[in-house]
Parts: sequence; structure tokens; C-alpha cells
Amino acid sequence: MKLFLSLVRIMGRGDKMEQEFARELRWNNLAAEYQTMLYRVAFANMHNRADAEDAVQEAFLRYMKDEKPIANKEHEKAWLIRTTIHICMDMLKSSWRRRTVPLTDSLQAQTQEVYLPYQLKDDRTLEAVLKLPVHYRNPIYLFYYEDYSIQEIAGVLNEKEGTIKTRLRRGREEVRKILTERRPQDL
Amino acid sequence: MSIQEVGRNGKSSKEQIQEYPGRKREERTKKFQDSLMQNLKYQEQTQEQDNREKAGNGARRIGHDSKAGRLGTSGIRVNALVGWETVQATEVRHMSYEESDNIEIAVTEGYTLKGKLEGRCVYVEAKYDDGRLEAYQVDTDRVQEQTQHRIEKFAVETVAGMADFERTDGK
Repeated sequence: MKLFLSLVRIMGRGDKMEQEFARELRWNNLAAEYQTMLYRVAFANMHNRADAEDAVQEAFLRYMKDEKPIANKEHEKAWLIRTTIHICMDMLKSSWRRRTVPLTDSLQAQTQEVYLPYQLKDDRTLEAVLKLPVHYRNPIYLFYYEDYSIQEIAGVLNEKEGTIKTRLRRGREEVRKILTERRPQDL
Repeated sequence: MSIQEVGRNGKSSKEQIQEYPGRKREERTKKFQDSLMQNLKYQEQTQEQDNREKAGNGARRIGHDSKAGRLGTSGIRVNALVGWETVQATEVRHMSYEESDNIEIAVTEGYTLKGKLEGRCVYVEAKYDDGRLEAYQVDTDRVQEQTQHRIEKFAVETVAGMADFERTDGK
């Protein structure tokens, strides 16, 4: 890379090309670092791979477009998660989406699309979490499956810590309800 | 002859006012001394208790308040007897899922456990949905086979999981 940069300088193309190259490199690193995690967050909201990928791409595009100087890595990560969730919410609210019926597999098949960095002992719980209303789903998903602290979730979702604690507790009760409901195939 | 205002005890109100702050200070000093004595007594008692505990088995008792927080409380919903010497409170290291050898996500119970095998001990980190974060060091050699304690069980599972992983060369 150093050789390339010095060649650019020698060729007299100036600082502009050097800046372009450095920016591209930064974006590549950013994508490599966060795309899997953001995909999982988007999947938890969209429930299908294609839409989740679209949401993540859109989040990266907004980040690049904005080019805001973000104070530190944690803020950068929180910004990306927050934006991804907002994009998902917008997509779910769009009138086109409300008028169409997605051609998707069962939720069980879909959860296998979530590439968690560890093996889950119980996929049924994740399925139940994905069925939760959005205000419970995101805090629960981030707390249990992405290992975020209550403080971090409060920062990402722009809520008070007390609100997140309440949502975690109520969401947990909802998950329990979903899991204890008798499914049609069990009857 | 002029008329002078006289209080119930025959003293003028001016005299009473002058006396009052001093009397109040005296009362306050007495109260302060009493509370100081009480505090000293309490400190002596707790120190004695600590010394007795240290002189005992040396292990910290689960269920007591400690520097690492409350242990074995409602977060992990088990009511089994705890092996005093097997699980000890330790400092929280904020270990990530990627660093852990074993993970348990209990959404319906409201906690997550992360475990890492370290020699003959297992470091276990527990996160509860009320915001508590606690860490334990479990000596798995001393854990009873039929243990019902969630942390002990998890530590044993971590050791077994790692043994399987090594047996299959990580395949």
C-alpha cells in the first residue's frame, strides 16, 4: 500500500487520489467489521435475508454520505445499529410492503439465515424473540444475542436505562407466553 | 418602674434566647457521641465477624453481599444448596461471546452465562436483565456430579464441551 501511495505521489496525481484511496480503505474496513453484526440486527427486524441485506447496505450508504466525524468506535457502532433499525422500521412501514405478501419460508428456516458467532442450544427461543413486537424485539435481541449491556442498548435506541429494563422484563414474559402456546402441529 | 417580659421559669426571654444555642449544642454533641459510639460498636462487630469468616474455610459464602455484588440471588433461579468452596466471586472481566468457550442464553429466565476454561477452574460471567453483572470462579474438580446449582452445572458443561472439542480436534 505504501508503494502504491508513493507511486501516486510521484505520478503527480496529488492528494486527491491519495484521499480517495484512504477513504475506500476505511470503508472496506468498516464494512468488514460491522456488516455481519448489522445483518443480524436487520434480520431480527426484517425476517428475510434480502431485505436485511438491503437495510445494511442502506445504512452503510448513509454513513458514507454523511461523513460525520464520529467521536469513537463505540459511537460509530451505535450509530450504525441505530440507523439500521430505523431503516428497517421505514421499510416495514412503506405502503408497498404493506400491500404485498412476502414469499418467505417458515420462521424456523429463516432463523438459520442468522449467522451468529456461536451455536445456539435452542432455536425456538430465537424464533419467539423474532416474533415479538419491535419495541421488545430489539432490546431483547441486542441484550441476549449481541451481548450488549443495558446502558449500551439505551444509547443505541435513544431510550432511558429504566425503559430498557422494563422492556427486557416484559419482553421476557412475552417470549415465555409464545413458547408455552401450543402450536397447531403439536395438537 | 418599667414592665419586663418574664418567661415561665422566671427568666427574661432575652436570657432564654442567649441560653438556647448553647443548650442545643450540648444536646447535639451528646447525640453525636452516642451515634459515634454506636458506629464504633457496629464496626467492631462486623470486623469480628469478618475475622471469624476468614479463619473458617477461607471461601466466601454464596448469598452474602460481597465486593463483586450479590451472589446466587434471584437472577439464577435455583434453590439448591451451594457448595461453599466450589464457586467463588471474582472480578468481572467483561468477556465477549467470541472469547468464551461456552454460552448459555436463557431469555425466559432473564440471564446469560459465559464460561471460559482456565486450568482446572472455569471463569463464569453472568449478566442479568436487571443490569447486574457478576463473575465467579468455579473449581470443577470439587463440583458434585448431581449438582443442581446452575453456575456449577454450567461450569461442568463447559469442561465437557471443551473435552469434546479437543477429542474431535475442533471438527
